[in-house]
Amino acid sequence: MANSVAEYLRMFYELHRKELFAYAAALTGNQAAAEDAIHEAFARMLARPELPREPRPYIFRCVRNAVIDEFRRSAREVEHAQAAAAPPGNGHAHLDLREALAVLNEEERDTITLKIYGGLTFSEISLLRETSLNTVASWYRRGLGKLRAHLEKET
Amino acid sequence: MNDIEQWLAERAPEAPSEALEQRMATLFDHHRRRGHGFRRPVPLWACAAACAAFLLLGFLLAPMAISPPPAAIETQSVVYILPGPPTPPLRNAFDWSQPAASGRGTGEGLQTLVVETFSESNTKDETI
Repeated sequence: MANSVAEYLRMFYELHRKELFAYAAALTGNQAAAEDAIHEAFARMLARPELPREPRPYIFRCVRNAVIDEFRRSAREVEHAQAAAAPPGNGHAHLDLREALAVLNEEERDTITLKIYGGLTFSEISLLRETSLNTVASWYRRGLGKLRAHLEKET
Repeated sequence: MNDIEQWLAERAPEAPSEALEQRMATLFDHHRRRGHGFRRPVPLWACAAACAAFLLLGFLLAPMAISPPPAAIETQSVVYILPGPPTPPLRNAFDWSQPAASGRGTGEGLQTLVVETFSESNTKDETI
């Protein structure tokens, strides 16, 4: 069983590493932190004897948890790295993604990054967030509205 | 996909670096070489101590676990001495089987019946 878990995770990573990285990087705003979080999440999942029935939302949730842990572990380093890497936000095309996502609350940011970068459906996100489908759709619409308002204000 | 979604999609972070690819390959390879996910959460010394303890316990309790062989069923005889008809006098006047010189009278009128029984109790002689 453990062998099948490892094989599934290896195949999942091969197929979805871009989505996983895009999601983790959008949350952290830092490439190194995102890669550390992905590595840590898969190391934790490999230690499990089995995966839940819906492994795809679960894997993304593990990555999100690893991102949160990574944030707590090296919060100062991440902030310094973001400050060093952040380009000036003086135009629509050059606005930093992280800066734009910062106007959202945690639920809206997570829903939008999971949907657009992770490629998850609303149904999968509702499983991941353990909430209803309508709530997830509401977070998504409200988040996009906030982003639009922020971008229009910046430009 | 509306304009905001398009804007976000265009700013998707780049693919992971080659370093992460190597780290993940090492992680999966290490997991595979470790024995297909077999984990030994209990320390080796604890396993050895438990084995030794149960071995000692086994030696101590082994004599109690072995039940004694069942007692042999012996054929025992119950001797019933019943009064019987008088026996005719012997032709030989001297009876070597009787302590008395006359040999008559002491054993007369008695009949011996031997019944074989299967019993583990002590042998009982009953006289009726």
